[in-house]
Amino acid sequence: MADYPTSKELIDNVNYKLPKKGWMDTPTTIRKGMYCYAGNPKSLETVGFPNARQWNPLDEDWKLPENWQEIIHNGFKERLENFRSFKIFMDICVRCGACADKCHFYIGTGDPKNMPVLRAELLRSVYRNDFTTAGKILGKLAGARKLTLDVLKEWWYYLFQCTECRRCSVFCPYGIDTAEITMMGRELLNLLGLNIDWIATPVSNCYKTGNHLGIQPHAFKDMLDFFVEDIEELTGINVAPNYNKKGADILFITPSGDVFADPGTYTCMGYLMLFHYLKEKYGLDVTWSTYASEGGNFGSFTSHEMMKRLNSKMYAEAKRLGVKWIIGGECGHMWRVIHQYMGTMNGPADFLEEPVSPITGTKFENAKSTKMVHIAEFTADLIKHGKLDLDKSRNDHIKLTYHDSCNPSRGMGLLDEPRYVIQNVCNHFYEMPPNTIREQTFCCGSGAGLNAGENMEQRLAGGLPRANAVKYVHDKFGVNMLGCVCAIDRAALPPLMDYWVPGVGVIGLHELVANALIFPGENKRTTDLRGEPLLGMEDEADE
Amino acid sequence: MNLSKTLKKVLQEKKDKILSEWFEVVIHAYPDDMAYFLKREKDAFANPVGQNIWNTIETIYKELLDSFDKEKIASGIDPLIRTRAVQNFRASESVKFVFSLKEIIRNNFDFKDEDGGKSLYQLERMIDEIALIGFDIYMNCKEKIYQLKANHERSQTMKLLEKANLLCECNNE
Repeated sequence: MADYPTSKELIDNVNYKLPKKGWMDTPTTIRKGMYCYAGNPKSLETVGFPNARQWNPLDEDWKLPENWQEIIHNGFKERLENFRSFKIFMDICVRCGACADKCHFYIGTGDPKNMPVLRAELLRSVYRNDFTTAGKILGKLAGARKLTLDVLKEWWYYLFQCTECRRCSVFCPYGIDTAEITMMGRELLNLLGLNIDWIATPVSNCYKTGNHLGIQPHAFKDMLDFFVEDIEELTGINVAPNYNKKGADILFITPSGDVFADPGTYTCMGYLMLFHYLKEKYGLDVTWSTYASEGGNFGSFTSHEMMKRLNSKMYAEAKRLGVKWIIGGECGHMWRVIHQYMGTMNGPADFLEEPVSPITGTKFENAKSTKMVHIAEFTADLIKHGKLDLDKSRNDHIKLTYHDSCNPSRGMGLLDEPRYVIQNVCNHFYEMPPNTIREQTFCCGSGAGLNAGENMEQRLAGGLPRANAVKYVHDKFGVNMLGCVCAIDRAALPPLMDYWVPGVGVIGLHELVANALIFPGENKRTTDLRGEPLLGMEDEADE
Repeated sequence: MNLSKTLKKVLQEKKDKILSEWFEVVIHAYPDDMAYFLKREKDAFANPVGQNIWNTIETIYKELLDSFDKEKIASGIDPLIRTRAVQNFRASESVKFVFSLKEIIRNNFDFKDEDGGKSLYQLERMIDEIALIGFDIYMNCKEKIYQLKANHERSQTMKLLEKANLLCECNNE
């Protein structure tokens, strides 16, 4: 029988006192460790964002234009008229509280303004004041308030304490997508040049050089060539890829984090190995691009216009190279943008073919409009048709659990494909508790541009619910590796594990695939891609 | 350190009441909305902080009555202190909840009948000891956070420098 409270417990819990202070009267203090540095003005200038200047969130003066209230009011009005969803989300919330305790930031920080409903109320209160009759007449009684400088600062502080992961929206009976409210709020802030540098500079870099780190084409190629050397040392096979090859079958685009940051680099090596295997065995012709060298769309954290500009580069390159369709790597927000916005934003991409795997003949119906297939789905299909020669035991030193990266899971429904791949390349796989995975997965705490260093306390608090579930399988089953399909996860989860669950590493899906993949004529493998000895090979690996 | 049998007996008898009062004190370090959530939600994965609080105060109480094993106390108090080190608490506020146990116990017993206050003195020394363990853990957590921040900055540049062959190992000979 369910553990219901007794009547006495219920009566004891009744509290007739009014709260000491309403949320509107609770001032916001910007605390170190909980915010990211302000955007570099040069980065704002690159893409033509307004009010580029040096400013510090801790300063009293944020150097705003004189008519800043008018700018926000007009920006708000314009977006209410253009986006029906935004207008509806401003109107229909009944404050039932279903979302309130579902946010990882609320659970981890204990700050009530991180309840999704309250984060949305930050905007709604101003909406009521400026755009509703009841709000105009009744003011605070109708939940309305004027946009003062303190309110604006509160917006900035809390809209950048949301990772747009959309866990709250899973529980909303009305289907309000609170992440879209955050997106709209950030758009409004950007009208005043209020951004963070971990977003503004990657946006500028993506726009100028194609990827968020500003790696230039020759350096991008150099990095991949280093991986090719490492792989040859391990397997004896040269997996050199195509770069910018016109007329290739498929263009492959992945987040640049995989090319640059450990442990994503091993995932990147996994892609290189898989594509080489498919080329040798089935003649699949894949090319990488040094122009479209970033899958992640940092523009989506600033404005829909910027998101569109960055997204268009991937399709411009596909057109230029004349490929048939695109495979996308293990990325987070790239997939939300592709799956939910691309079709009507830059698409449909009619100049490309509807994706069909030339190896298995499978038609990827879900990518009919975008022409872009997730690599986990592509690989799962290969395995299903017996096209890969795999030795699962090469991952026997790994006890794996799987973190559903928010955007691929909630943003595009990619739940079973990664698990199918895992079941075929690993012998030891353990799921975390049901209310922390799949659609209900907890965010890494660092998405939507919050993966900086200066806000480490914020990231560790936001990632607490995720880490807590990992700790459970670590303690219970001895799990030592956390799998994922997102480059931000691969960058964000290692410090999170280091703090909360030491002894658990982080791994991408295609690193696991590459460990297990048997190449014809390859050297005997004694270590995995990281140089760690395989189970039972400890002595040979040392030699 | 050990408590008198009489004191242990009464602490055991009033365990549920004391723990429940202590839990209330700990959760009310948070705003009312959060305190309500920490108390109401019983699922350990939906409410990890509430779960940590319960586990911590139960472990500490058990060790007070039992063997007072400092390692067990440290591992028991760690999750709660670790959480507070990333939340909006000062160092003093993060360990304050340990001291609050003194007042709760005093309010629940009449210690005048005990052996001239010796037992009470002993109990409070043990509670102080627990707070000191908590403070060490808090400092370790803060150091860890700064280390993670430093690693983050370092990893931004090191990989590129290595790949560009701009780093070399110095030969001291």
